Amino acid sequence: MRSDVGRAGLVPAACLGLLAAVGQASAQSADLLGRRVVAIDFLSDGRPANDAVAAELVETRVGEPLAMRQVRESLTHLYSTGRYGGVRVEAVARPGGVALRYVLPPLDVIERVRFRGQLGVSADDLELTIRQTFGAEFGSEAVDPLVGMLRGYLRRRGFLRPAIEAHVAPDGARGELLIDIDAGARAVIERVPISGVSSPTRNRRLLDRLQLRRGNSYDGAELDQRLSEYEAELRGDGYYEARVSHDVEEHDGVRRVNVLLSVRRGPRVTVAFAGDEVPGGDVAELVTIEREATLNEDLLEDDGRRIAAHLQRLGYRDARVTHARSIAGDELSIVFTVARGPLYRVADVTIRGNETVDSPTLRSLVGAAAGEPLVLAEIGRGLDAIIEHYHRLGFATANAEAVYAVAGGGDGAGTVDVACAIEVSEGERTIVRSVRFEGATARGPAALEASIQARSGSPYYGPQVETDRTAILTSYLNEGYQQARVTAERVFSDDLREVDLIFRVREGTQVLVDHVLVVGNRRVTAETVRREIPIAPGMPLGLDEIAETRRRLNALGIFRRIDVREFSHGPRERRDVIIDVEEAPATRVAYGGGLEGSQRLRRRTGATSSRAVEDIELAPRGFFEIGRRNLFGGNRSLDFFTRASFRRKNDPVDPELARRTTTLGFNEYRVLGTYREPRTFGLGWDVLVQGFVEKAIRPGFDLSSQGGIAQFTRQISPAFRTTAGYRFGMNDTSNEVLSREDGDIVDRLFPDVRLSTVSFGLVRDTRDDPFDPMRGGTLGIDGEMAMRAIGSQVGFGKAFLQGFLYRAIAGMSRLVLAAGGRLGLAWKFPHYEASAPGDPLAERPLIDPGLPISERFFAGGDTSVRGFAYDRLGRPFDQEGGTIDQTGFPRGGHALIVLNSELRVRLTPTIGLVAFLDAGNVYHRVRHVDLRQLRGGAGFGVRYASPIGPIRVELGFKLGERHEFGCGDQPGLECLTQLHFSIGQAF
Amino acid sequence: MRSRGARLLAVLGLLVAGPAEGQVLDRILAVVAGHVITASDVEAFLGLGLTRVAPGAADAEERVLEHLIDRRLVLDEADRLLTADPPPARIETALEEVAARFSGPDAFPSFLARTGLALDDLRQILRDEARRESYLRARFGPPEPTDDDLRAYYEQRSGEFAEDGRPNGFEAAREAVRQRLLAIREAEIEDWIADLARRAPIARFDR
Repeated sequence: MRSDVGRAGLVPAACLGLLAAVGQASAQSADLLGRRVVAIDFLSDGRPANDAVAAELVETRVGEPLAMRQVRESLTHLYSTGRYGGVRVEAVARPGGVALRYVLPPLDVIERVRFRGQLGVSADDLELTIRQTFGAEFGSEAVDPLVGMLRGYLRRRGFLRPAIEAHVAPDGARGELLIDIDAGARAVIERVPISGVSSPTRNRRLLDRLQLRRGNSYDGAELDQRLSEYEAELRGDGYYEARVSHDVEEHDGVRRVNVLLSVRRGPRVTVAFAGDEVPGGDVAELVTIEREATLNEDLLEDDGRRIAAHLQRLGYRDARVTHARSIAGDELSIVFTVARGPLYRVADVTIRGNETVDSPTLRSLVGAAAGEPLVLAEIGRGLDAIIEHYHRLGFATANAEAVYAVAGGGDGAGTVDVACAIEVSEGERTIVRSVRFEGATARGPAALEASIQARSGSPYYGPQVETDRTAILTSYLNEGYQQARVTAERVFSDDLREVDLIFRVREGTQVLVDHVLVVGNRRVTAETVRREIPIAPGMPLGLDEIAETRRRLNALGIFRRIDVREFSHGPRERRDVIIDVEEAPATRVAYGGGLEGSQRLRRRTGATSSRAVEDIELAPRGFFEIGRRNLFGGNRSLDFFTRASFRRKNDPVDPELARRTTTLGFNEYRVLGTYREPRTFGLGWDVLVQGFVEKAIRPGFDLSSQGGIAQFTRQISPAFRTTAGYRFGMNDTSNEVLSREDGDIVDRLFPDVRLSTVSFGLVRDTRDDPFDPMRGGTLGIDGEMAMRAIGSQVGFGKAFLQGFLYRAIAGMSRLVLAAGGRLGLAWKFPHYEASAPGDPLAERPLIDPGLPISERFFAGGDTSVRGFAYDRLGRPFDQEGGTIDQTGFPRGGHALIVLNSELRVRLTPTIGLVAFLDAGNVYHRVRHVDLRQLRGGAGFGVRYASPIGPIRVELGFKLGERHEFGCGDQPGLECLTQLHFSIGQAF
Repeated sequence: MRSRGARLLAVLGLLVAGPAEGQVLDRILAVVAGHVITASDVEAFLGLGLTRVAPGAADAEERVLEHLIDRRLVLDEADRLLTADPPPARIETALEEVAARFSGPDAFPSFLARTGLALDDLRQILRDEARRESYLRARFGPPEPTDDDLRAYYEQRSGEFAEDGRPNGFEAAREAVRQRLLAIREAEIEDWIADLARRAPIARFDR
């Protein structure tokens, strides 16, 4: 080996003395081993370092005997932080033991760049250039290339002899790069020879346009920008081959330059079409050379192919398109000649040779039907679908081909009818005879079998075998076998009817976690991070765990950057896991404003009476939020949020009062103070404590509330989450909007109601994406109970069940079917606490006065039954179980049913369509629940996948009977349609 | 190479110098593709006789450090290609051989404690050594050329083994042929490792 041979000549004699010194040092340090460590300190860059992270990473402990093993471990841990280079440990004998010093030479990482001297250009320009090339941080080894790059940049900006000198960490400013620049004088233009333009007049115009005059300063970057604009202009005028560039030569020394301008305008290009007409749209749209303002042979060929493909899609199977150039003077004409050929139509589609799969099934896969244009590409896709269908059934060698024959018919005017016969060759069906695993010792056959789909007796499907192989490999990677290899062998019987699948595994070494090191944290303790993550010492270092670690730490929201990496030292089967974090600022301030547009149900009072009217409202709103994270070193946070809207409220019922008063004002606001603490007391429960003051305008009543909630949430498993909570507050629904005639007695007796409730919930969530799910579903149950025993003025119980399912339609990943239902039930306990002396209900405890309106169920709107306005689903109060009063306002009910279904079609990655069918109703009391009384809504909409979630525009139609609740500001029947604008999926 | 030697002399100079009152217990000398090599590693390989460098040899530490860097590069390749572990019995035999190099019952454990190695660490080192040799053997052939190799090489280049203008017979040239083949193998390995070193991140800490 290189290191073992032939280097004796390198050693100077002095080295012998040095080696002797090493031996002596080693012997001396050996004397210190085993002594008690009495002190540990850190030195970085020649100064004492009070580095809590470093202290956390060292394995030597004060009070314990000094062991070299711990010293070695400490060295690697400190290096693994990525902050220090050649770390060393020094020891000195002290009374009662030994003192240790860790010397931590910082790595030279440049984070800041400072400029000094005569820069020539702005410091911002220079810094931007550096950041674009070298990034926000770079090592000191990049300094020389950086200086070279800056020199080139300044030359391009006209400073031909810049003097640049860089200093790393000047005056001890670690992380800083100081760059001294003497750019010198900017070159000035002496002459501008132009090649490619023959006219002196055009030359002058061009020089004026480009601001190139003798004596002007030369700036190559600015000139290139102007030339680029000029070239784009020429191309816009049809000179698709225009090329404009410049070069520079020094005229005399460093001050004067000649700018050599090269202008190649080329001919003006026009595009024309000859031959047959191209139906089905604007043919010019198919030609890209004009759109892209550029010209080359490849593009022309592509354009010709595009026109031909367009015609073939219309049934012109033999369509051909050629192009030719013709030059006349300064004009280049591109002529596309179209030979359309006859129009082919499908006369019939027959399927032959199929035995296992019936013809209607196969025909549905073809996608071509009699009378339609014959599109070969479409039939080709159908053939592929048939072959794929057979492959999935185990016919691995199945094939399908189309045979075309001209049928009688056609109109004699260029139309040909073609019979399409699809010849299916099924071949042998192959069944999996056995599945074996070889080389697997760490994972048993049962575990491996459970991870794959292939089974003895199942049809053989080649792609599935590859999927299974990947699944086995993934299962090993998740168990820490980082170098596992899995191959799949298929051994077919002679008649191809059976196959043995053999998965051969080379497991390699299982890598276990040695230490979990947290670096980069300042306020958040390492313990907080460790508590959150699924990785712990001794566990297999699996891929899933690494991903889950990242996910959980991201979910905390307290880190700006998270890097999880492995660090190897010592045994190859053990790795340290380094979690390198950058904390987000502890204090977060956010504020903003906007204009909210929505359709609202309001009371409008006329000269003599008032009624419910739906209005489109525009309301300015603003919010302010301030929060503090990482409280007390843990993932605790305290937030204060306030929001207010300037909007109109319901008109007073009294016409005279309505005439005299304005309803505009800050009528909606919310103030929240929230404290969050995940995994409180180490028990796995996340705690949220919140105080609130709120005022909201609901259709039918105004709600003012204040109080507090405490909520406990626990993630039982990746899919299950449970909550428990307590709420205490005052709800004021003492408004004048409710009709006294129709309203429940409770709202008159308790305009201010004190509520004290306990709640629980359980949710199973298996959605693949909470914002835009394609598979999985949610199932949840929530219960809430208000009791006098815990301070509530009214007692009631509420239960709410909801479930939703999402399925991508097999074989059509662009289609997702979503469906779900909600059921809400509430019961009022027939007892009251007398709120005041003389409370009439105290003497009549057994009547059913209903829930306070703020606690009732409402439905209708963009996330409910979409044929109806917000909260406006229901039947007239004068009908059994109705909840809409005689003025048109919803009063809410004790029971609710909402059923939703929709088909989501993704047209492009960002645009989608949806068709929906909803049904539901709100019932006055639980006993009124009647599925025959469901009211329906159907409609369609468009969705745009924005970075903040799906933006929806949907139009819903009411199905069935409509009632006399009015439409907009017109009395009469309800509106037939309802338009919704919103963000997020409906469910 | 001379500059490397100079750097290492500086390293060792610092190692023994340190602050006036403190002894340097250990320090990081190099990091190869994320694997740390410490001064105690160098001391362990020297003291345990795991290299062909004698402990008292000139520039021994520098040569051992270079060996450890090269070794790490080869092991990374062996890991990548899943080179199999040797049988445990072979490791135990090698362990006994290493222990036998120390005189006295306490010398071996005492040396391990001084370098911070446990017995399992040493087993892993020996296992890696066996894997490294196995990998090199698979890639570059056995370290000792076979008789057939010697003959084949001699027959192709017999003219190069002449003496006084007359070709030597095979037996007379055998040792010269062997030395030539060993040198060729050595050079191939060296070139290959140099290529690995160009592609791998290697940091040396010599300040």
